[in-house]
Amino acid sequence: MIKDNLRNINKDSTLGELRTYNEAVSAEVKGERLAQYFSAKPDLPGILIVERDHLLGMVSRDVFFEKVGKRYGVAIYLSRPIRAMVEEYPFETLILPSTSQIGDATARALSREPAAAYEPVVVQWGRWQYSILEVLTLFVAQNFILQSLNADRYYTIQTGLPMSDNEALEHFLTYVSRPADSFPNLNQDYSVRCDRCGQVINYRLADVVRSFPDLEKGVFQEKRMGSLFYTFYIRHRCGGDIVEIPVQHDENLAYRNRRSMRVVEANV
Amino acid sequence: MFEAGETTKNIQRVTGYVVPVGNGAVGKSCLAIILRNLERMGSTGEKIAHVRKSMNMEFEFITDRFQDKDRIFYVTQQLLTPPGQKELEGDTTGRSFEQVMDIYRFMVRRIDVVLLSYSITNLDSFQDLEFWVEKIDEYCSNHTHFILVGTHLDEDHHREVTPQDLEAGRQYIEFFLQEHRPDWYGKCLGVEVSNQSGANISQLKRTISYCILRAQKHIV
Repeated sequence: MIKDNLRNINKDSTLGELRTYNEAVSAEVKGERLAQYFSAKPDLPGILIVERDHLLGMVSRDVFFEKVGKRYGVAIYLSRPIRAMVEEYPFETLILPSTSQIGDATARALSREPAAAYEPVVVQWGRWQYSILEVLTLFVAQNFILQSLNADRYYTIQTGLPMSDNEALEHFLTYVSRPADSFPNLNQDYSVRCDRCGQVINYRLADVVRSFPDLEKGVFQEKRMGSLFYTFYIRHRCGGDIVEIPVQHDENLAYRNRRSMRVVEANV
Repeated sequence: MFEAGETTKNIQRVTGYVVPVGNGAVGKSCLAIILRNLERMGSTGEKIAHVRKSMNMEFEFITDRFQDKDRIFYVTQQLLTPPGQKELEGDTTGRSFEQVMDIYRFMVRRIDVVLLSYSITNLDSFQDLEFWVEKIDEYCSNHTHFILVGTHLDEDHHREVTPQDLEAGRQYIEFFLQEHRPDWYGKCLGVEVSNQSGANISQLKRTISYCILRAQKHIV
């Protein structure tokens, strides 16, 4: 159920994009009312406790039933205003703005004391507007982001970004600030041999561009001894490793020479 | 010593200082040996077989006869060959170029010719000449001449440095020197040689003599 809401989540997503709960009661409400709320909504992680327009605190489902379940708990908490429980609440409520990034919020949530690590987080929307975020939702979202990033990275290393040849070449031309007609042939095939496994790696300029989401890391241009050279880092799977072979091309993209390969990912 | 018809009246003796610089293993030490043994050479391979990595400044001298119209010069080319290891490479097996030049600074007060050495089969060694020009510039003067010496001409089939690169590099060095030394009146020339086969070594020797004489204003 949580995962259904994660389709649009990415590394820049904020707490505001996650599912939260707005249930709130006055501090004067008796504990038995909260018990009814929790019974009626089994997935409700906690309830906000307000006094006039101010947030007094939050009572989580776990802490509520833990306290009520102790000796004399029913007598102490169910028949008295919930303020009594808030005043004796064992943990400090973590309040984060709705604009907090999921990664940062996860780190903050996990940096709490171990017993409080699974307490819900209160999300602040405006000056006086709050909601409750179940910490499991936060963790699942963070996990989804990490999985996506890892999949993207692996996908990029293995097969390249999903770009057409034309898109890749456009990207290259923008990066090097040169018009297409200043190159004799942008679609030429090249090959280089891996010094370790001996395999001949065939590549084209578009393949190099697709291999690097950040083109600065894959294409390097410099003027040496009065001539312009491009260094392309050719990615190749060599055994269990991903290696890069730096290859130099001149300003007309003619192959000139290669340098020693380097391992960028071991045991992929 | 003198050739037929020569007298001491029209002969001038000139000594010039020549410093080959460039990356390690491009053939600077071999070049000096081959230049010295040019006339007496049997097999060039034997002469350079024992050459090892330079750890310190190496000294060689060559005498060349150079005729300019009716004037005859006997030019002693004093070659001071520093190592090709850069300080930043952190090679601990010998002294770096910078360390050696610090030690022998007093000997290189007047450089007439710098041999910017590279291997034609190694583009990196050619591109690194930018580094070497900047390093040696500190020891040069307005009269210093530069010669781009491409070695390993016998391995032309593995060539990585094209004549176009050489010309662009030559122009780059001239531009660099003119920018750093507005009064520089030297020249930057290019020669490709083979230490193995001896190809173009005579031409290089003559070019060095010409540059020494021009640097010392004996000829225009």
